Amino acid sequence: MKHEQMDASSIASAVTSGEVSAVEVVSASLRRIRSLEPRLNALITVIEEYALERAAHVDGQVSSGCDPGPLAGVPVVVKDNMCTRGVRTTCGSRILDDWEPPYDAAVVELFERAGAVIVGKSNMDEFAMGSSTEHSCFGPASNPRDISRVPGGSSGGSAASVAAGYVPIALGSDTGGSIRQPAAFCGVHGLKPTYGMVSRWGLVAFASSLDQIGPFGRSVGDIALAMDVISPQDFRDSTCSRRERPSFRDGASNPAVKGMRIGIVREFLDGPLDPSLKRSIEEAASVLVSSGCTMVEVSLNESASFGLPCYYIIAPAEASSNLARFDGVRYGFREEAPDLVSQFTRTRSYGFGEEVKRRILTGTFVLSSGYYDAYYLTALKARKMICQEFDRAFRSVDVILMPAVPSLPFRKGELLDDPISMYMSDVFTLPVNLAGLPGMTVFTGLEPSGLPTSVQLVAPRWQDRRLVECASVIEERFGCPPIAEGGAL
Amino acid sequence: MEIDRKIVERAATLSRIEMVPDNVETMVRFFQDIIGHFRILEKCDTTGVDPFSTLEDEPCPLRGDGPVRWDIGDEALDSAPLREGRFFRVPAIGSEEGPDEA
Repeated sequence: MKHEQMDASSIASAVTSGEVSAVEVVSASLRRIRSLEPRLNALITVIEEYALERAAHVDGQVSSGCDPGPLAGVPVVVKDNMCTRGVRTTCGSRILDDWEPPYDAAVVELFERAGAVIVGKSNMDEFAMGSSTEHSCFGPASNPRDISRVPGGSSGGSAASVAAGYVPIALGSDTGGSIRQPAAFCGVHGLKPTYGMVSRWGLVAFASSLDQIGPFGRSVGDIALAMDVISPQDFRDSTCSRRERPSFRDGASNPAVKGMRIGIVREFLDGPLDPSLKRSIEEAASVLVSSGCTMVEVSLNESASFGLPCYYIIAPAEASSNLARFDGVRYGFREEAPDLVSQFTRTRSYGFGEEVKRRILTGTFVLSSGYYDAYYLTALKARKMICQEFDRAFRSVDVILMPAVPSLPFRKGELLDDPISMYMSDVFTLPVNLAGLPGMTVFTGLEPSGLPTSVQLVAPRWQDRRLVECASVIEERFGCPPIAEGGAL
Repeated sequence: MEIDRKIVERAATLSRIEMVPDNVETMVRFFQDIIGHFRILEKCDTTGVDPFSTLEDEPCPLRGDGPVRWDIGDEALDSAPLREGRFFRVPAIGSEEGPDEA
């Protein structure tokens, strides 16, 4: 089997046993990147030399009898908003286009400690604001299942890297759906953990009450493996919980779904939804029922009605505050000016792209005097109601089964001039962030057009393991996502 | 409430973002659309609901109350567009002079 077709645990076993070297595996990954990257633009930076050094280090550990860790020699990609010491971390923005952080993000440390080899930093919507990876100052990324279409966003480069077989695992961040929506568009699995499950130390903040890091993979087993590696507690992130973590790998290999009550949300199925995605929900429900689950109808009327406006007030408000730090003083790009305020203004005006400016201005407006109560405060109350609505739903069900996206991947440029329609593509994912819940996109197949279908699973806070248990059962029926070759235009 | 240039220009000034006239018009149209969408929240009966502040099941974990040495000052300063010794170099507030004279 070619290295790019192997899952992460098979690679790690083969490297640890000496059957294959980490250098061979990483070289194969880099060859795959070189061959497809001109068409996909999934990566902002390829870290070739460093990756081969790291791989040689892993091989050295194996030959000296040390255990390199559960991701021994596994090539991985991390989104370009996660700090990598000495390797530029751009957030897809001109304002950080040559910034090299002086430290590694916690998840980067954890991946490397587990033997993983980072081969690239993935393309993304600038500062994670977008749903198509078209808002990147490094150019748009393409969907490897059909390069005329977007890979979703904002972690589109990470999803595309996994779908195209660059790597078996990639990391993304998810503020309103930025893991689950591109996973659905590229036809891979993607998990957004419970808020507080994974340390965000070294993640460049977008909206701090919503951001969370999680993995993409082509098998549920790899998602589970990545989660076991990246979820330890970390005192450096004050929002990272001290709770004991579950064993995700155990959940993936021993799924105990019998007796689980699965919620079906009528509001989401009766609204605008591609027929193929509605069919996926019905088929996944049938698979779960045949594994001993029962289906229960639940209502999420407030999430369906108010989730989108609530999110597009709260997230830009937090972004307007978080992005105030980009002023050309301490890091990144600076546009010189005769006085300090002009320097701030010129730097930010040139350094930020249009979508980021739209969100900063929206956030500033909803927080400004005279409008705060009408918009921001109301949105915070609506958020509370959405949390309470999910709490009520989870009194009668263990997991909710719902769509991840309303449509199949749209064409590049199709929604660029219509930001509100672009925002609608996150309608099923962002209520999950507002309530701090774990959610997972699970691949369910390819349409005759080659475009992927999926479902989303949502669990109560800290019950992330249930997601991989249900996902394993669904994967058993639909199979793992095949590698995409970056075809069609 | 009517969204006009004045509202957009005020938000831009507060955000320290300069807007050329064409962009102001585009942003006014965007504000009209998105704020029109926000009005859906007028149908949300929030009477007696406290605003969301944190996820209550999870008190903020505290780290040990002791000094921690973070000796990356020089590396952090290396990221600055302009530094002088142990300081970030910027132009003076309100100065008409360039950064060299600040």
